[in-house]
Amino acid sequence: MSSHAQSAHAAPTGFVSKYIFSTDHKVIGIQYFLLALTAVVVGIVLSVLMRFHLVWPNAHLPFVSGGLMTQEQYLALVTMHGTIMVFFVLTTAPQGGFGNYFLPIQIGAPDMAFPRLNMLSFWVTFLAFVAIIAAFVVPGGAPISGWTGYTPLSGIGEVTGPGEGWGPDVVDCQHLAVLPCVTAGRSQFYCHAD
Amino acid sequence: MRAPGMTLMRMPLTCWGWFVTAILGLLAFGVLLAGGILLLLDRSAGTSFFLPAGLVINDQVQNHSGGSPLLWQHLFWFFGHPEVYIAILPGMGVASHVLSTFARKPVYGYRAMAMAICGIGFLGFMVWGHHMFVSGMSPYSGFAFSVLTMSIGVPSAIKTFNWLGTLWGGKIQLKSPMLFALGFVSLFVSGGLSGLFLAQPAVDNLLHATYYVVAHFHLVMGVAAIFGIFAATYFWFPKMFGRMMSEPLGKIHFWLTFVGTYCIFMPMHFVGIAGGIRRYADASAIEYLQKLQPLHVFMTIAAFITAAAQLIFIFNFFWSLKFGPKAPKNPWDATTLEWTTDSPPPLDNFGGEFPSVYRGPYEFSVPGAKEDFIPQHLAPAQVARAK
Repeated sequence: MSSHAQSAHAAPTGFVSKYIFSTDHKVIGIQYFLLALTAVVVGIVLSVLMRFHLVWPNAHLPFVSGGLMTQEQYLALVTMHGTIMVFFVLTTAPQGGFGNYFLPIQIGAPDMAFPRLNMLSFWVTFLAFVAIIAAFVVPGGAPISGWTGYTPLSGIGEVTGPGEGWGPDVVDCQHLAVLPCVTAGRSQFYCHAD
Repeated sequence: MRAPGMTLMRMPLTCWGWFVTAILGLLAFGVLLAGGILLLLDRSAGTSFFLPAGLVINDQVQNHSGGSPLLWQHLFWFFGHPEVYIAILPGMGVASHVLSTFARKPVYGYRAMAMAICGIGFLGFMVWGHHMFVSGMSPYSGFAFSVLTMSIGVPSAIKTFNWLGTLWGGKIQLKSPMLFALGFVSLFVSGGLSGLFLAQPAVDNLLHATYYVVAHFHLVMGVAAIFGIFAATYFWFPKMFGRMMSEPLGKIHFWLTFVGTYCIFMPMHFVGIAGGIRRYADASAIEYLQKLQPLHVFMTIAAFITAAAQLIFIFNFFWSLKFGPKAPKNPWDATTLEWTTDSPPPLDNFGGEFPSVYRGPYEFSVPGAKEDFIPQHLAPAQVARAK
């Protein structure tokens, strides 16, 4: 074990290296957890809007242009609720959050196998979250084809109507953000296997 | 990087959950990544991986040919089904860990529990077709996917009965993490049972586009996984932040969330059986669905209350961060290595003194021992005897 202990990184001193771009698995775990906490609040708000619309479809909403929620806007809520909840809550908190924090401690290790890769994974996930939230404000609005993004509707683009503009591209780029999950997974896998 | 003596079969079940989840992620996410790139090319670069010839949209024939929409479904669900296990396996690990700690008993059938996690992960890659029964799949493929899907019920039932076996005859302490772990088991079973119905293609063809499916997956992999996260938060908060969370607020949060969840999703099954269409913006204009509207009102009110109850958790989390009582090293009298170090742990986790491991992770209520738990790092000579 001593060789591993020696390879552990020195204590960072600055605020940025200690709390933001930290390679400490414990800080990264808390960052993932707080990201998931933010995402779950967004996801719950979307689901409450959906439940509201199902019961009072003709109610006027203050933040919707024209007051009434359109069917496309409802489908956008379905899509964004599913995508945010699956990728940024259910995948992020249990594995990225608690897995990062407690796996090394429970097996008696000083850190994950690749601490810098681990940090990179979180920040790519963070950028992906910013990108998916941006889908609400891009031209054409958020995608409407569900978190499953079935083709051909999701593959054609703007011609299929509102909600098929840039939003799906944004969400698709967010699919690319599964890359960090792969790198994070690799880091954890080696941590076990070694 | 495991400590000396930390063999695979001495790892806490949480680590087994994360281990298998990491493997699933490595194998599954790459497929979604590939599919996502191909879809982007179809949207932006004029390729036709998923778009067939003769597609007419808004009276315009689209300039695509040769692609298969079904290919996307295969690629998506080859990722999508393992993804639900990526969400739930860590929760299973946490539930096993917490149930054992607060029942003061070893996990019943530890080896079977670890192997069941591996079995679920393995079988999870062979059942993606059950999401596609209505895609015009051959009945023979449907039969194979159906049988494989139901076979996941075997390791799932092993886990469920072993959780019950862990609780049986234990000195159960109903602290907040324990309540959420029990809630996890309850939601996993409630949601899992409807999965057995949906695994049959003949039944799925009728229920696929209804709220029955929505109710099923929200219970089994949505809220159950969230309960795993809550159990983990209440359990490990003292270790992560050095302070205890409020027990009374945790209990209020649990009961509102637990009852609220069932009030949302149990009626949803009946809406689905009655033909309530999912992903449908306004069912109030459809005559045969109008009589289901009162159930929708009930579910919506339950959803509002359950959502509001989460504010209790958020308040408890941030209030305890600042004002919670200081946490000792091992507030739950637990056995695994994280409880041997400070709360919160130092930078290298153990302050330079890395532990060795001498026993399995769940040695609670060992006959003849003075205390009802023996930590993993205690050498046999250090264990206090009753006499």
